[in-house]
Amino acid sequence: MMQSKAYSVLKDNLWTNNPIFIQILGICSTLAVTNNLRNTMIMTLGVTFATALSSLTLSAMKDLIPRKVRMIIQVVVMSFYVILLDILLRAYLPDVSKQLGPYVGLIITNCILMGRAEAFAQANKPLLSFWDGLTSGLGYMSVLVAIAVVRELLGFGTLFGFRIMPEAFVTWTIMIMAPSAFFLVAMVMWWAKTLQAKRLAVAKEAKK
Amino acid sequence: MFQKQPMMRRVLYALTPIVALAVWLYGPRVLATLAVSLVTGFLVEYRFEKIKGGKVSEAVFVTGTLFALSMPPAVPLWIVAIGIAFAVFMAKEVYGGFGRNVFNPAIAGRLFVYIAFAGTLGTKFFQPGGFGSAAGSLFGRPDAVSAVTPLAMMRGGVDVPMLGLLLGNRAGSIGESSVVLIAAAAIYLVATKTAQWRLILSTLLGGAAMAAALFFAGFAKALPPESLLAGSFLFVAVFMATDPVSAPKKPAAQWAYGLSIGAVIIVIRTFSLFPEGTSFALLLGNTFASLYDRIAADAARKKAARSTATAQVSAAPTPEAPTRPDSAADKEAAK
Amino acid sequence: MKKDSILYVVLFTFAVCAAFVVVLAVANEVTKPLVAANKLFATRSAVLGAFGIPYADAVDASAKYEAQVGELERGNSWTSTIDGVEYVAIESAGPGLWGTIRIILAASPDGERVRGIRVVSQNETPGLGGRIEEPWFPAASTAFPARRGRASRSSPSSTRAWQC
Repeated sequence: MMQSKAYSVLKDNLWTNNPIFIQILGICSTLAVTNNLRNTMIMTLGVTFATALSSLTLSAMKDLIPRKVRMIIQVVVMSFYVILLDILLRAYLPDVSKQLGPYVGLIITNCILMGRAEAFAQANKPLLSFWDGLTSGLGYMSVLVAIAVVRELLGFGTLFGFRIMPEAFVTWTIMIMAPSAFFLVAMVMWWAKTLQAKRLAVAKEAKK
Repeated sequence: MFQKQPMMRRVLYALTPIVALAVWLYGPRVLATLAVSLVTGFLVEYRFEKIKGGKVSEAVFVTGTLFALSMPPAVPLWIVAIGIAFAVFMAKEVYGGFGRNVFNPAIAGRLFVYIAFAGTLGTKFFQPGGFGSAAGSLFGRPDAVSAVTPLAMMRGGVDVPMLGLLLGNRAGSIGESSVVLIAAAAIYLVATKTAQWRLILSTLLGGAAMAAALFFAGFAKALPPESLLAGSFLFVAVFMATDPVSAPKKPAAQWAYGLSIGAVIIVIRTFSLFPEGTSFALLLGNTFASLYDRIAADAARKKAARSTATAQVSAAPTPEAPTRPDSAADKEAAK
Repeated sequence: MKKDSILYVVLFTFAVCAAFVVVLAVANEVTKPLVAANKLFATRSAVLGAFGIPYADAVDASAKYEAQVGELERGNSWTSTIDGVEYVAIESAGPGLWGTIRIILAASPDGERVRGIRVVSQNETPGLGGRIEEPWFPAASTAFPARRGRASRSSPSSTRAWQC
């Protein structure tokens, strides 16, 4: 029973209810950090870390939280993990912390954290909530990394800073700029929704 | 396989002399650019219409030609392919194909490549003349002799000979050269009711008025009046602003649309970092097109309601005009 | 105690906040020396970079800094003699798009020749303005003579396209 529930949560967060292309959450960071694969990885890891742990914490103390201050407590817990992450980065990965600058603090504004806390953690067991936060972060990460690969490859001709394209490659300036993320997110949504609609149709056909 | 669109054919006829002149000015390379643009545009549209079970519109050839003509003469062909593919895919097919696009595809594609490859395209202008011989080679890639376009010269405060602007003997995008030919095409298009004269006139008026206002107000950055003949201002006014799909339909809305595009072109040319502002202005105009239509329709309905109020109070209100009614060309195609 | 009573709400909120803040404060205290060391290394490596003194790693950098760089009395300024020529470096700050950009500029004492520039801290958009930290950006500025103590800089055209 537990096994199948965990699997359905995983499938939901990665595909059928993906935070980016189905729930359309966390779009601001999609636009901001995806022009560079390294920053994207760190940002998405940060979001995954913060979502998973705050879901776990909130779910563990959900019976103690009075409804009146529910959201305040959620924000306190989330900002706790975000600040903790910031402190750890500053101490152990100073280069990364320097590069990401304000973005680490901005994880708190990522709608996915609040979304998972409200939609899942307050009604489910701690471990499952942790798993839900983790997979949500992974769903977010998978889309952002895909977009970042396209943007960094075309915008700089590199991946993780390593040159992939030949020297003669003309870089696409527009891929470094935020508008290209709009095009690409839209295309990912289109692709995913078309595929999901097709599969649904096939499944219905099979039932008949 | 094709929708028959006589209107679009007439636009192509009107563009033929301009293409011919461009070949004379910049050499046979123009034809290669045109071919890449037309074929890529067609293939992209064909691919998508096949999924939807629709027909390829002839409008895609107009888009392809206009896009090719808006490129600098020495543009790398792969940039042309990327630009037209973006134009047909992102600016047309994703909106549902012909008649449903919000933005003019040719301009959207042009802007995409101009932003993406600003550095590359900026050096791809060269002096026209003698089948491109002025650039050093008749066929193939011209040498790296990039010329400064008249607009850039005027921004630098250099005088530009008027005759060159009129005849098209000046550096610029492939199709924007000759004022005379563009004017002739405009007359043909208006006479055959292919293009709406209001759109052309209002765009020209808006540009002229804004240019005059800035010039006589004594802005240090204001361009001289003949700058209206330089760049793609005329080309855009005649061929882009008149696009029946992305322009508004109501007369009052068309005036507002043209005036705003013309004025914004001059503002961008004068104050922005980009020497040319026609593409940005046109896309801005497209954005507001349906709003202009809505306002014009509301105003007309109110007026009608007032005049008929005494005759019949309970008259059923006229159904609200859809924001994007089928264009005239669509109806013509259906015949 | 009832969960919805005011006393419980206040106490609970207070307790939660206190607990998390204590953990954060401890984490901050524990990592303080590390952060300070990182900051010191960032400044020193920037000074070395501006002077054009190569270094291998953090230990090497601090050894070279101790040996070759002198700190001037007025603060935030350094001096070093390279190949028999004396250079000075100063820290300077100016507004960026999202926040202050701090740089270290090394030049000859008369301000005639720029030796090097390093960005110490900035909050610019990663991938756009944030690229000022990459080596090619300051490298573009060292070929120019400094005028009246100000380095004349050329803005690389690739960053300008952003402004359209």
